[in-house]
Formats: sequence, structure tokens, C-alpha cells
Amino acid sequence: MKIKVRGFDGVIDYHPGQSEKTLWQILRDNNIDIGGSCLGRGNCGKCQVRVLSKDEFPMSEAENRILSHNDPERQHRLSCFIQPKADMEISIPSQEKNHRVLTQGFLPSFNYQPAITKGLFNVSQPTLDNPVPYIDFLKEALNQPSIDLEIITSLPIGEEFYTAVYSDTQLIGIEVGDTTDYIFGVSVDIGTTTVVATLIDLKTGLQLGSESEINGQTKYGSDVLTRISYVSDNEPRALQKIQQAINQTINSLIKKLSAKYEVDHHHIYEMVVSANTIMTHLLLGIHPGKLGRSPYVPVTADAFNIPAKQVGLKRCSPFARLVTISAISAFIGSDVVSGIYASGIHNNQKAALLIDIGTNGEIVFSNKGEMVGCSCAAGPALEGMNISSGMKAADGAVEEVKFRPDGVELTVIGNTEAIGICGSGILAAIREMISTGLITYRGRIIDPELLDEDDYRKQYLYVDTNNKRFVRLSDKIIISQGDVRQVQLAKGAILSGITALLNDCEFKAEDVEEVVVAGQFGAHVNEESLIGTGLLPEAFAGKIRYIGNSSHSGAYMAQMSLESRQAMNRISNEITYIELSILDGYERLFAKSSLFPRVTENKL
Amino acid sequence: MSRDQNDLIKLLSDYVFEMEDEDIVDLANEYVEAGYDVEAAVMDGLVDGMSRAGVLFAEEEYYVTDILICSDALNNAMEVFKPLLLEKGEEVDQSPKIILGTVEGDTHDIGKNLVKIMLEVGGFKVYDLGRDVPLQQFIDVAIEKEAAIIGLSSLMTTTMTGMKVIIEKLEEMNIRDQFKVIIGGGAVSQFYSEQIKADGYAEDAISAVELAKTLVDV
Repeated sequence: MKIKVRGFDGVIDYHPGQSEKTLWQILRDNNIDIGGSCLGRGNCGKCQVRVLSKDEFPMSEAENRILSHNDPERQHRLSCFIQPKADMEISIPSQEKNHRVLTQGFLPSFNYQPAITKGLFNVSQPTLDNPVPYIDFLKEALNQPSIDLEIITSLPIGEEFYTAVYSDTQLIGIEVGDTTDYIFGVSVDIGTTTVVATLIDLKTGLQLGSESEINGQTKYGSDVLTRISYVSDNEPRALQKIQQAINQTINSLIKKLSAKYEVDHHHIYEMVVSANTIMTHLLLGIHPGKLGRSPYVPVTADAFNIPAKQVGLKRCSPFARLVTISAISAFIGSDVVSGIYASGIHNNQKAALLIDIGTNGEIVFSNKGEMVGCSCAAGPALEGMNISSGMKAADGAVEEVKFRPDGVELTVIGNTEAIGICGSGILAAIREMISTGLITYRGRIIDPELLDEDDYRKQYLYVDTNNKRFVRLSDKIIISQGDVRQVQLAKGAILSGITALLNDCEFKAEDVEEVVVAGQFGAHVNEESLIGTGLLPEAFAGKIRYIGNSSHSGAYMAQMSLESRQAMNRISNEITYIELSILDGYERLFAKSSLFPRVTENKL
Repeated sequence: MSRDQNDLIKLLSDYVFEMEDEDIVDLANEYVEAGYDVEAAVMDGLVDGMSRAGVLFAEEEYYVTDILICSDALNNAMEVFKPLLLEKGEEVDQSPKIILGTVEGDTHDIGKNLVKIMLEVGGFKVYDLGRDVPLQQFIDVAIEKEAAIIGLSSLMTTTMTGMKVIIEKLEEMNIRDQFKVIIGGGAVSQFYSEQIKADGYAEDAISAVELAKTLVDV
């Protein structure tokens, strides 16, 4: 049967064969990114499609329940519940335009001393009087006791000039002629969702430009745990497939960069990667199964420097190197190590806290260089997921909200019509709801019946036929009680992580001198929202600085400075990792951290 | 002159309901010092307060985090009352038994702990095996205690397959119909429950109790 997806060329030809597949599986098999963080298990409600042809698919109780949370207006179906029986046409509502990705981060000054260097050599030629093998002249010129067979077989012999390529002091390759002008590297920040690559001229340190792409592994799951499950549940080829997926993304990024900046990819000699621990394992082809189970420990947290082709990276010099930075724990990776190094909290004399806010929040506290860290599962609410009208930070997303007596003021990315709300937007909305008393400190949306007729807040409240309360920002954008709870959970996770870490060091929030916020989300949100919602303690006001995509900055520094690279690898050894879930009284701390700040002037 | 027993019992219920997890200890001590019957304090005071909280939870007024603090209040008061309660012998106790735990590899138990409290309040005898529980242990204890229900929790997709394994083991041992298996936790769903042929799925602690009650009445 034929399945047409609006917006995509051609049709999908589907033959049920042995077993019937769900629409979700069919779309994935055809490389259409349908979303769905639960990998088609019927759990997350995010694989929505609109059935444009006749919808004769019976709706089960299970699908109904999930749609009531995720699609209250019932415009969609979940593709993981649909089994196509005849030709059909669908559209996928989650088309995101112009997804804003943070490529840059704050960069402190440092000394350039990249690992990759080149040297030009004039090589003597054999003659009848001096019939020395060609390679011996080469060895002599380069001062090398031997030359690898692989180099010998790939090199034009008998030339006058050769360029040797080194990684630190190790000879990694030889090129014919004078190629000393062309030394390039790529810094890669591998995020679970987005991968950012930057092309760097290693002679000068100049960042020529960056490109970003959605991580090709998302078709195996949008979060790290789902990807781990994919590998564990689909032996034996799954690990290879998922490794290939990230390679393809990196190779594609390098292709774009080399075309755009007119650099021959054969002159790219080093890729430095900064990423969370699971992404690093998958890139290196290490089975991640153990990381998804207690005691949540990585297979290895070491740094690696290996031939790039060993993991399948091809769009570079055949003797290019892949360099990874060491990690701290299963859930605190080299991306955080990069962040620590770029922020400088490891060697300034202050009591400083670094927070990398994303789906997982990583928190590192440095007290005059002594560091402890933890990871908390904030959940995807802060990235606009699991939220009724939630979306990624792209055109059409509400990112700031103000409730005024005469109506709501929305700031929308791209200044277009508001079609959804992103992480910073939902946080801003909650901040407003707290300060105007539309929700209680316990997170309950108030009953509009209890407000006077002329109370301006009545216009924002809405109760549906099931007696469920909502806050309405526009016709399309609503905030449900469930959405508030999602933000509460995220806020509870992060605040309890901060508190637990500080308690462990016998420190108070007031005594923290500097708070560094890193990560995609952190850069788009303002201090007013972070403190107004109680995500960060009030005592942090005025002490916050943003460093943007510090994972990226760190990768760049590791590429341009051997000293930085070594320092970063040392840092990971110096941090004590604290597992929050085994701390005494953590449950109660989490519960109390989920409460919103109490507004002194109680409006009710 | 000590306060009236009924007044104190009502206050105990209020303190649980209103999350007064610290002040409730003094109140419990006052009750004990007055020499009143402890079992009444537990059933009509603490359990009553927890049930009231459960109603609000179902109405979305209270959230998981609120119930956690209510349960702290209940537990703090129980610390005072427990030594004085006559232990019902296991043979005499007719309450239906349920084995509960977070599956092997998973250490998340906040939700599971709440389910335990609500089940006890709902009249079940709960054997909580804790977290990261080896799969076979669920079966062994269920057999030993002649439990009616096995309750499995998991928060991560990486560990939920353990639930399927347990059901398969029960079938291999030819004892699948001796127990009802129910599942819960962030990783699972109604759909998954049907897929692995469990006897039910509950979204939260309140529905878990309702589900358990339905299954033992059958």
C-alpha cells in the first residue's frame, strides 16, 4: 500500500509481509523523523500525525489517555498506535523551521599550541654512486627510525619535498610536496539532540565557521536512555548502526564546512569531541548497556586519541586523529569538563557553581578549586517537551510572557504568529503565574470562581468540561495543570541538586560568590525567570553569568592548546561525583524544592 | 488536664493532611502520654488524614511532592505509635498481601514508596523489597508470603524489560495465574502492560490502590 506524507517527495511503498508494522515504524524505516522519545512504545505522545485521508483507525483506551494530555483539542493521532491497512495520506505537525542553535560560547584567553603541526623536508635522491633505498633518505630527513608500511604504500616515491604531519611529537602521516599552509581541524560538540561542528585553521586558531545538524541518532531515541535501550534490545548490529548514525552526521557537517570555506577535507587532521558520556561511548563504539542500570558507571571515562578512521570518520585526512576528552561519570561527560575549564571555576579562588541546564542538569560546585558534581534528571520540560503547547526554540515559539491587566504580552521568536511555547517561555509564564497569584506556591492553578468579576486575572483562567483548569495565553497556547507540574519537577530536580551539593560541602547558597550558567537553555532564559520560579535560590541574584555553549568552547581550547587538553583531562580526576538518589533525606529535599516561591502579597 | 481523645485524633488527621511533618511528633507524644488507645489514633487519625490527601491528589489539588510530605508526617507519628501497637501475627492478619519493588538495575523509588504508603492505608500488607531488586527475588518472596499481587516499578526504559522477564519466568514455572502482576513508573504505560500481558498498569499511587482492590476482589 502507498503512504503519502505531505511535504515529502514521493510515496512510501509498504508491504506488511510477515508482521504488520505501526505507522511510526514505517516512517522511521523510511528515514522520516517522526519524533517520539519513547521509541514507539506508546508512552510519550509525541509521534503525532494528522490523518488526511479517511481516519478509520479505532482509538484504544491507551491512545485516548495519552492524547488527552498531549492533544486536548484532538486534532491528531499517535503514529505508534496506527497500523496502516490501505493507502493513506498524513501530515506531520512537528515541522520545525529555523531551529535556533547556540554555536558559540564564552572563550577565555589561552596560549595557542595545537597538537597538529607540520614540517617541510627536502629529501635527497638515490644515485648510482649512492644507491640508498628511497625510504632511508626519508627516514634520515625526518629523523625517524622507521616509517609505517601504510604510509610507504600510499606515498609517491622519489619526490624532492615532503611534508610531515605530527600530533604532538608523534609522526602521523606524510604528504608529498609543500602542504604546510594547510592545517585544519574540526571541533565537535555532540549533543544528544544537536551536533555542532566548527572548522578551525590550526595555524592561526581562526574559527572559520560552524554548522549544526540534528544528531542522526535521534531516530533511535530522542534521549540517552532510549538509545541505550535500543542498543541493548537489538543486538548484535544495533551498536554498529547507532555508531554509523553519528558518523554520518559528523561526516555531513564536515562536508558542508569544507565546501563552504573551500577547504580540502584531506587537510583536516584532527577532530576534537566534547560530549556527554553516553554520546562518547556510542561514538567510540563502546557498548553503553551498563550506563543505563545501577550503579550507573561508565565503561571508561578515559580520554582517547585514535585514528579517526577506526570509528568510521572518513571526511578528513586518512591519517586524521579523533580526540575525546575524559568524562567524570556516566551522566557528567566531557561537555561539562569543557564547561568547567572554559568557565575557569577550577582555578579562580571563589566559591563558584556551574550549572549546565538541559534535559539533564549537571551541577558542579568549586570551592577554591576543590570540586564536587552531580547530575539531576530535570526532564524535557525546559526544552519545551512534555508540555501541552510546547515546542523547541524555533520561529513561532513564545519565549517571554507578561501578564498585564489589559491582556497578555507575548514575545515570539522570529516575530511571527505564536504557534507554541519553548522552554524559556514556559518558565517565564510560570514566573508570571506565581507573581500574579494564578498558581499557589504548591503549584495549583487557582479556581476562577474565587475571583471577583472585575479581577483582571479572570481572563487568563479557563476551566474545561472535565473541570480541569488551564491558563490561557492565546487561542492556540494553553498551560495545563500537568504542564505546571512538569516545570515543578524540573525545578525540584535542579534546586534539590544544588542544595544537596552545597549541603555536602557545608556551604550556604548566600556564600556562593559566582554562578555560571551554561548550555543551550541557559542562554535564552533570563535571571528574572530563573529566580522568579525558584529554579535557582534567591541568594544567587546578581551573581549569574552566562557562558553559552561551553562544551563547544572547551573542544576548541582542547584543539588549540595541548596544555588545555591535558588540564581538562586532569580536571575530571579531581571532581568527586555525588549520586543524589542515595543521599539521606533526598526525597524530602526534592519534595520541598518543588514548591514555588511564596509571594508575600497574597492575592487571594 | 489532657485534651479530649477525639479532638486529638482529629488533629492528627489534620496534621497529616496539612503536611505538618514536624509538629505532628509532639502531638503524637501528647496522645500517648494521655494514655489513649493507639490503634484508634492510627486508623481514625493518621490513615484518615492520608485518605483525605489522596482525595485531593485525585482532584489535582495535591501533587506527588505534597503527598510525599504528608507521608513524612504519617511516618513520623508512626515512629511514636509503633512500639505500642500490638503486632498482628502474620497468620492472623487477613489483609491481602502485595510484593512491591523497583526492578533490577533501577534505583528510583520515590513513586514506589508512595504506592507502598497508599496501599497500607488502603488495607494491604505490603512487603517492600526496595530498589534494584533481583528479578527472581520478586517471585521467591511472592511464593513464600503467598502474596496476591506483585507490584513492579521502573523509571527507566533500560530496566523495564525486567518486568517482561518476571512474567515469562512465572509462566515457565507454571504459576502465572497464582499472582496478579501490576506495573507502574515513568518508563511504562498501559500499552506496555498489555504488551507484556501484565494484569494492570497504574499511573499514580491512588490508581494503584484502586487497581489492587479491583484485582483482589475478582
